Amino acid sequence: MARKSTVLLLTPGLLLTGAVFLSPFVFLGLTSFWTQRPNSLLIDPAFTLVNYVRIATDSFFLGTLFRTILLGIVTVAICLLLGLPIARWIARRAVRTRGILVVLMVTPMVSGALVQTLGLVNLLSLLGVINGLLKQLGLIDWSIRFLGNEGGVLIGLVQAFLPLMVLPLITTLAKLPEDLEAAARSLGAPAWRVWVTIILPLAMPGILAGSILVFFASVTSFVTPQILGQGKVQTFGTVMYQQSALVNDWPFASALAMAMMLVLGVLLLAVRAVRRGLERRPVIGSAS
Amino acid sequence: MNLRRAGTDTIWIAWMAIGYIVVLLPIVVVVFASFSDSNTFRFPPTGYSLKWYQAAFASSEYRNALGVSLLVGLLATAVSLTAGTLAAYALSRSEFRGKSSIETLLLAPLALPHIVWAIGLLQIYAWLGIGGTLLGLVLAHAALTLPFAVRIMLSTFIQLDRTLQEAASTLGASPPRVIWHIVLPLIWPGVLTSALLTFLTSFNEVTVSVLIAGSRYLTYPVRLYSELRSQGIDPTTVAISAMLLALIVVFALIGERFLNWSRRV
Amino acid sequence: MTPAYLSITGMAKAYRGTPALRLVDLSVNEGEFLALLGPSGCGKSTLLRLVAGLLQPDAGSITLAGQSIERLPPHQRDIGLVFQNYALFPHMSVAKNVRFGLSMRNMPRAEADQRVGEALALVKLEHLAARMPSELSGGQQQRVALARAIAIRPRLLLLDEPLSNLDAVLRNSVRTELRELHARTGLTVVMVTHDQAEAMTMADRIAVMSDGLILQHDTPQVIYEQPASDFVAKFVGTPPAAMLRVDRKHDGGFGLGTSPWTPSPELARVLEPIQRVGVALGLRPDHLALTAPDAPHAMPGTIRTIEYLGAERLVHVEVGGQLLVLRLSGDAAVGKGEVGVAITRVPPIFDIETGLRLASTG
Repeated sequence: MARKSTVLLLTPGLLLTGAVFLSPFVFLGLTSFWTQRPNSLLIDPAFTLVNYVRIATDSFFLGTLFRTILLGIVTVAICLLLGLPIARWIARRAVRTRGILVVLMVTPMVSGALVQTLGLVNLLSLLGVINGLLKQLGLIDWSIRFLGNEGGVLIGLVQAFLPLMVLPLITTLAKLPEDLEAAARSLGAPAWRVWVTIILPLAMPGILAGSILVFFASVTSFVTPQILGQGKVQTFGTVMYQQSALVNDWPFASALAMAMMLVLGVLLLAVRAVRRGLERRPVIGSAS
Repeated sequence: MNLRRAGTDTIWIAWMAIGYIVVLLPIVVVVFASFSDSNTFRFPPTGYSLKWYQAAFASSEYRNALGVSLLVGLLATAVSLTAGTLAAYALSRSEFRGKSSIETLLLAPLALPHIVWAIGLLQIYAWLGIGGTLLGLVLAHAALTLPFAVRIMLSTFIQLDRTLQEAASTLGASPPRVIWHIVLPLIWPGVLTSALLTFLTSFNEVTVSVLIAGSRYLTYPVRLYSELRSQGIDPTTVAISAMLLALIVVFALIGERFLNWSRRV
Repeated sequence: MTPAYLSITGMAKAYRGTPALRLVDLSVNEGEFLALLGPSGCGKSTLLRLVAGLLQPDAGSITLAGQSIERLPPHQRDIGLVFQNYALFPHMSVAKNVRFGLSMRNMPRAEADQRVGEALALVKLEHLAARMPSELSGGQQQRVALARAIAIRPRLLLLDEPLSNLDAVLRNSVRTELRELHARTGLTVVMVTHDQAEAMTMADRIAVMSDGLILQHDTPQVIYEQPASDFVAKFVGTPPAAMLRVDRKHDGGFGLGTSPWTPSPELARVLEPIQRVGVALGLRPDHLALTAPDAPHAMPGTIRTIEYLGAERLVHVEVGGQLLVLRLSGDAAVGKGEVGVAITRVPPIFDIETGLRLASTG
């Protein structure tokens, strides 16, 4: 194809991505060094580090950052524990069954974050399905408070992002030869050793991919903590939102956003290093 | 041995059930709650009725929100599908230096955090004076959904045998006729898939819409968000959400049956 | 002399700086069946695509029936091309595929129907007109592709490796059918192939290509008997010609490897005038015969293997470090061990350095 028509065909897409999606990131980098005039909507475009100093010294923001990352790690751990056996099971079904199971797994994702959150609120509220069920069974006398604390947010995050863990795991596990496990069993390995020595090492690329997806999604999530936390659980996403939409301190919101980008960037570099280490390792069965 | 086998199978199936319950229960509850007859949902429900469905069709407020979502979704899909298809065609049919970086650039919205983007976009829109406008919403949704269109169309074009186009041209078809008679009939499943996925993504989008939508163009998810934030769930929205869910599930089943979605996306 | 029907001059094409065609001249007469023969990567497919207009040349011109076509887009060239993978439109029935070119020419319905019928009859597929391409066997798909290309009554028919995707049994019958089709339609055909047997049996003339150049362009017989270079000699023929190096000694005598050798007077007459340190003889089975090891002019050799092929057997004899192949009748008795090999006809003789055939010989 001629060079000119290639450029012409690529222009609308690049323009859209560049102008609408990428430019805000540049803009944030710029405004994060500016300041908001007190009690005014005007911005002082003079270079200063004051926003970053505030994030680094204020225990509220540091605490929020820490809590957000912790929530992300716990979410990843639960999704992994829950998702790995599920993915293994789905990966061993016939293609047709697998398709149906994958569609079921994806259905909540395409039905929208808010509809799911609406369901979760109905499920977890004081008069909701779970409390009602437990009372009917006579297990509790008083409703358990699920919403408005970290536990509720965690349930929401796992519910929303479990598919992000399961799908890459299915892809990785479906590629493993069927006989691998049988071979290990025939050589006398008990089931748990098959998992530890065969399945887990080979599933590593999928585990990494899924963990990154889930961690990114939960750390940057905003709707789930905002609604299930009922304003009582602050995460980086909700704090950024408040600073932008409620406090209207945009330069400070920009600095928070840049701080999040920095955290994610460092994490990504670390993961890349781990992945490179994995690639250097012999693919199957290290001798050690 | 057989007993042990049956035991492990039971554990596997129980584990599967837990996973699918966690994932699917919230949307099942939405459907269930939509038939409740009380003003605030409680379990067990006091009775069942269809009155919230009637209210849903009667409420002009929700009809407006759904209308805005539909309009934004359709416009954003049109923009992102057009730009995405053109870019995917160029990427699949030519070789040049920097091709992989351009691909990465076009797919960037899949990888970068939307909340960060939304906060930057809010500031840029305020500066440009298009915050709260239809144009602003459509552009944002189009940019956000572009990578879906690019990715699906790219794999569609890669699967399209290039010699078919060449064969058509040696048989006397001019370039526009090659596109009309050969390319379009063969890529429409991909076009349909990316159109539906793009539309759904736009229709469900909430993170950026909450920040940039004004009072005039309030999409349905933003409407639902503010309701959930202010603690009061209007049962009408539950009924509407249940209907939307049913629509989406039907679409998903059709897509899987006829277009092999689980292998395409 | 009238200009050729298809004439290509000074054609050159490079992909990202790597030349695929260096400087090619080629002419094809009207009604002729030409084979472009060469190993993969020799530029034969590039040449075909340039003629079809699917590639733009860096330099050179193409005229077809007196009209300069190198600037025309492919859809205005009226050249039929049968692709190696057939490239049938998967969403159209057999009849629609064949009709496609006619629809593009806005041909009236009745006339187009008749043409489609004729084209399908020509490839004996009238009964499958309503089928979809995915319901056809490989051989049937190829015939549809052929019918589709012929239906537009092209000024030139190009075939890209037409037999390569067919199984061995089908290949032989399609070979004959293509030949018959050519005779019946009188079309000018250019076929690309890497299979020398295909080229030899089907084509009126063959252009042997290597490394972006045409090495020889002639009838199959001339190419077989008087190959222009050692490459052509080794590429064409079953089994291919073996190259035997003959050195010229300081005393004017000849040598095979380290040992001296006296060629037959007939061969010596040809070798004598060549002022070279060494030459290569391109030896095919038809140039050789087995003799006793001590027969006059014989080259001493050792039998290595014998291939039994029914009516004949091929005997591989090592002479001066080279393997030569001889043909014996199937019932002739051959032992193993030391034999003599006699050169019964003067073979083509090649320059050791350039590989070109020395003009005075062969």
